[in-house]
Amino acid sequence: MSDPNENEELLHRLADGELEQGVSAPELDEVSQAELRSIEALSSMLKAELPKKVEPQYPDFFNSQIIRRIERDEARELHEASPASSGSAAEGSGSTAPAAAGPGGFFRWFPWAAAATACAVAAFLALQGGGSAAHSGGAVIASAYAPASTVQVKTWYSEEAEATVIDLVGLEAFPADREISGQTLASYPVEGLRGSRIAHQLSGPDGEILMTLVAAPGEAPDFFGALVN
Amino acid sequence: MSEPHENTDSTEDAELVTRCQGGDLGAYDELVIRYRSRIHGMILRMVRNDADAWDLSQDAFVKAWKALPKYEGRSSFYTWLYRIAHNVTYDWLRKRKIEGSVEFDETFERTSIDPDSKTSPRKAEQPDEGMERSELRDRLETAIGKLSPDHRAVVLMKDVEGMRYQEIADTLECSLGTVMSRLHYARKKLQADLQNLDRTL
Amino acid sequence: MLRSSMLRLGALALALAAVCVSSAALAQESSAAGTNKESEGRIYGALVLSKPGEASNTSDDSEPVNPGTDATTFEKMVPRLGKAFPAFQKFELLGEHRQSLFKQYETWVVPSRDLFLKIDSKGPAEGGGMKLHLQVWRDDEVILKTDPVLMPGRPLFIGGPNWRDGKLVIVVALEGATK
Repeated sequence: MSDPNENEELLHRLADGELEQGVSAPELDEVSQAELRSIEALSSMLKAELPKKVEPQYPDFFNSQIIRRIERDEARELHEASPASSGSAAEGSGSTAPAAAGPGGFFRWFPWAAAATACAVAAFLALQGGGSAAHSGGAVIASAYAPASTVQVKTWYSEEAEATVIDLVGLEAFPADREISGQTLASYPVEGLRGSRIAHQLSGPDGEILMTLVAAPGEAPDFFGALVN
Repeated sequence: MSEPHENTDSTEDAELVTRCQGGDLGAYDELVIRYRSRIHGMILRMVRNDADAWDLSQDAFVKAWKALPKYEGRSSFYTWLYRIAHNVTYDWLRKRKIEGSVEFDETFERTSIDPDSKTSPRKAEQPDEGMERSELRDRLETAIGKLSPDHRAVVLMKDVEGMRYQEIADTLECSLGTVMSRLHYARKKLQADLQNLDRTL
Repeated sequence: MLRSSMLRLGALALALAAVCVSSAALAQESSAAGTNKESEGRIYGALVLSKPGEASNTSDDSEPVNPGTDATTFEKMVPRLGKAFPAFQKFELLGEHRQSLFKQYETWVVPSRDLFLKIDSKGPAEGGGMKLHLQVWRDDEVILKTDPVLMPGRPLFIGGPNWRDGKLVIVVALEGATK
């Protein structure tokens, strides 16, 4: 084991019982054995001292609050979607809301509303002319998620452009006085003294190489820190 | 997607999930009871503050309910739920830029912040759950609190939750190499911090 | 004091130059292939400013395309961008980054410090494609997480935030697999 990183990884895998298939436990020298024991001791200590489960305070109240929030959100969404029925929706979500446990009358018609909504969405997409990316031979989007609740993610495959498109609707615009600039970078794997590295080459407007920095794979080099700052 | 390490009555979960997808809030209430202590425990370890852990746990469960129509059963319900809770927590931490972390992200380093800053949770705020808090646990939690969220998440998932490397990678949506790299770093840092504490005590 | 500062700066500049020279030499060795045994392919990421208006070649009335880049990649994208975003017909390349994809490590694709990508390879897909986990970052915030399967010759366009009179669009494509 000449590469110290590989040796370290092996010790952690041994300690965690996660040796790769086909790899047998090697004989370790004293130093490695001591390191392995140290890793195992830390791991055991964490497992023993830090409980996996921590019940929230007032657990029944915790649950009822979640249910109530869901009911309120559902009622609000329905109210926004169909103003004409706002009266009945509001009644269902007010003080007459069903008890936390058990199915409530308010949700008996929810599956039907969901089905109707799904049909409407499908019809809308069909009218857009965007095919399903999964069937068109283009890029497939298994999932797309925007952390900000105000941002809507729209995905479609453009047959004309032969490209998959994701559009983030509702993103806050960059201020006009902000200077958005780009850079021309090319990164290549290289073999260095410590194993694989990445060489990042920054080019100028005339194609000249301004700077090359080398970093470990998976790490952005200080180079980017200098650029972002 | 790898299966979870723990058998959590997946058949019962599947039945409850099917009912939830049909709009049965009572079934969801059951699932919340089943998993709230684990989700809350994970979030509490990450944010180290009771009030925030409470709020974020609720956010996670509400978000999971809304995402249930998209759940296809490719992973266990708990793994899927855990990922949602982790994302909710991580997004919150990123926005909060919790003080007390030496660096928020291993790639984009932030200015070092005093790890003894006052925003660390006070012991008086910990819930009175009848658990005896050992001195060792306090030391461990202090040391874990000094890790960045990236490193903290990985070491807690491995050593407290007992997740396998691939499960962690799937949950964090990163590569196995990244998981290994963060785990090594986190364990090294914890060892060093605990040794320093031993010397000063 | 000024003299000692200048001496330190000079020493630093020399050291940096030495690193750059040796690094450039190392890079040249691998630049031909752009890959090694650990990489799974090459990815191209670009940041484009899309504006409404009459269709035109970007080199006519905007910043010239960097001659040091593979201009054909962006030029090929322009008509496709126009079809994907019919509201925009002018496309200006702000920055581009060509990177290797590794199975074991995350990959940062940084055509701009303002909007950039973190990509994890999830392995090859049928038809020569690549399964990815992709995050779009805006400053220090993730604005999108997605799991695309990129196919050769079929890029991914990500419509981002508006800026001034246009919209920023990110282009992601497998490199070296032109259609």
